[in-house]
Amino acid sequence: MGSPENVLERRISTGNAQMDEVLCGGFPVNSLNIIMGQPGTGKTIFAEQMVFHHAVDDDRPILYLTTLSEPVSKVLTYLQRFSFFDEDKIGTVALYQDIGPKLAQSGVSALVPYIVEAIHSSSPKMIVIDSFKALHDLAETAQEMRRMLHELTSTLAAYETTVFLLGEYTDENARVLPEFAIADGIVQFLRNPQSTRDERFMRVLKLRGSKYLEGLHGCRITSAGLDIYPRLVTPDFPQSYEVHSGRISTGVPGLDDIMGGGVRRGSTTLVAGPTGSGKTTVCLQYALDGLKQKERSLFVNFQENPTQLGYLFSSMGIDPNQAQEQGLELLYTSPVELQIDSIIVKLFNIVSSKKIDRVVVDAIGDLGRASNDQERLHGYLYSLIQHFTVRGVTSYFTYETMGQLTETGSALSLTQLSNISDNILLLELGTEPDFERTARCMKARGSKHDLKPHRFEMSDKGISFLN
Amino acid sequence: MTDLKLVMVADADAHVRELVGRFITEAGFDVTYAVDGYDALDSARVTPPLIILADILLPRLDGLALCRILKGDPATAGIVTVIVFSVLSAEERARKAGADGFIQKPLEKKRVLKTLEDAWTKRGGQ
Repeated sequence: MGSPENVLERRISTGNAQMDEVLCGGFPVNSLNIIMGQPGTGKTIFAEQMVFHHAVDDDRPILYLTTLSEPVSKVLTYLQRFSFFDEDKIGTVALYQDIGPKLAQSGVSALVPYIVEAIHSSSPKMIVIDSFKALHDLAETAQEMRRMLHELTSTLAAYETTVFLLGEYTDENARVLPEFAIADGIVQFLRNPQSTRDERFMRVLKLRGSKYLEGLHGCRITSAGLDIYPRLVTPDFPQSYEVHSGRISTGVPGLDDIMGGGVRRGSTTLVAGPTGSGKTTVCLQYALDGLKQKERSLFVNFQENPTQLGYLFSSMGIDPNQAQEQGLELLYTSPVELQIDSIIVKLFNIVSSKKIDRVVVDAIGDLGRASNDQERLHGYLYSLIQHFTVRGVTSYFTYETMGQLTETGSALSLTQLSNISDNILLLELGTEPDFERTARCMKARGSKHDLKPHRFEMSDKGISFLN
Repeated sequence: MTDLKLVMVADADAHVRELVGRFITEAGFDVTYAVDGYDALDSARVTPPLIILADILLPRLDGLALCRILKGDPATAGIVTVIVFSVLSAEERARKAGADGFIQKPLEKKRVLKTLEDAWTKRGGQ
C-alpha cells in the first residue's frame, strides 16, 4: 500500500487564479457544488472556463449536460467567443450532451440512469449540469424531485468525480430547495445596477470543511472569461514587522521642514484642499522625487487621462515617457467606469508586482463616488493602507474639499480619513485680491511638525514654499 | 476451493455495490455481493473468492474485523486477498488488519482495477 493521500485536503482548481484565491485553493475534490445566479451574472462562463481548464488529453473527460435552459448548440455558439475555447476538445475531452429532450419525455427520474451510463461509458472526472434548477419545473411533485436528488447524490458520492449544479436560483431558493442542503460548496454570482452601469459580484456561501475568503468579490466578464477581484482584507500581520523609521522627502522645496523632516517611510499622507489648490502638483512632485531617489512610484488617477496627465508633466518640464522609463507607473481609470473592487485590487497588484515604493491616489473622492457603501470603502482603504504599512510603501491620497473640510457628496468624512492617515496636509486658497496659497500640516503622527500656515507659490516648476 | 474468477463486493450501500460490481464485471470477473460483515464472512468460507473488496463501515462486522478474521483463519488466510475501502483515510489501520490493499472512496474504475491487480500480483497471483 502506498502512502495515504488525504482526499479531504485535495483541491480542484477552478482554472481561474483569482477564484482559487477566494476558495483558498479551489473546490474540494469529489465535492458536489452549486453555482447559482440570475441570468447574465456569469455562472455559465465560470463553469465553462473550468471545463476547458480541466479538459486535457490523456485524462478522463468532462461531462457537460444541458437540460431545459439552453440546447448544446446555443451554449457552444456563444462559448466560441471566449479565448479559452478550444474546438479540438469538444467531443474528445469535453463532452457536451443535451439531455433536455430525454428529460422532457421521461421526467426527472431519467437523469440518474443517464449519468450512471455516462460514468461507465466515459468515466468523467467532472460533471456539470446546466441548469439543474430547471429540473424542478419537470418534476410533478416535490417528492419526485427529492427522490431523484437522493439517488443522484448517492450515485455521485460513490463515484470519483467533482460535480457542479448550475441554476438561476434565488436567495429564497437557497433557503428551501433540497439540493442546497446536500451541496458541499455554494458559489453565488450577482449583478447590481450602479447608476448607468452594472456591478458584478460573486461570493461563496458555503464550502464544507474548508476556509474561504468571505464577502462580496467584484468581477467582470472579459473575452478571456471571468475576471475576479478578491476582496482586499487586512493582511495577516506577522508577530512583529519592521516599523520603517526612516524619512523620505516630499519632493516639494520647503515642505519637508513643515512636515517634521519629510514623511516617515511606510506612512500615509492625506493631501486635502479645494479644487485648484495644488493637490495634484504636490503629489506629482512627491512621485517624481521618488524617481530621483531610484524608487518606483505609482500614480493612480481618475480625472486626467494619460494624455492630459502628459500635458501636466510637460508643463512642469518633465518628459512623461522618460519618467515612465525611470520607474513611474501610471494607472488611469475613467471615473465613469470606476469599480472600486477592481481598482483597489489592480492597484494592490501593481504595487506588489512592480515593487512600488511610493503611491499616489488622486482622488479619494472618486473612489467614494464609485461606492455607495461607506463601510466597504473605509474597509478597503484601511486594508490597503495596512498592506502598504507592512511593506514599507509610502502613500499619498488627495481629498477635495469645498470650502469646508467635508467634501460635498463624499462617501467618507475627513474624520474617517484622518483615522487612517498618518499625516494630513491641508492646502488653502485665500480670497480676492491676492488668492494667497497656504498649507498647514494638521497632523504628522510621531513627528514634531509645524502647525502654522505657510505660504507657497505655484509655477511651471511646481510648488515651492516662500521661506 | 478459491474461485479464480470471483470477486466479492461487500458494502452496505447499494450504489457502491452496483458501481464497483459493474467495474469488475466489465473487467471480466464474476461478482458476488454482501451487505454486511457476517454475510461476507459466511459466503467467503463457503466459496472463497479471488478477492474481497470490503468497506470498513460494514454493519454487524466491520471491514477491518472481517479482514482480521479471514487473515487469522488458516482455512482462508492463504487463499483470499482482501482489499479494504473506505471514505476514511484509514490505510494504516487497513494494513495493520492484514489487508492486501486499500482504496479510498469515492471510486473510479481504473484505480479500482489497478489496486485489485497490484494486490493480486503482490500475493503471487498471475
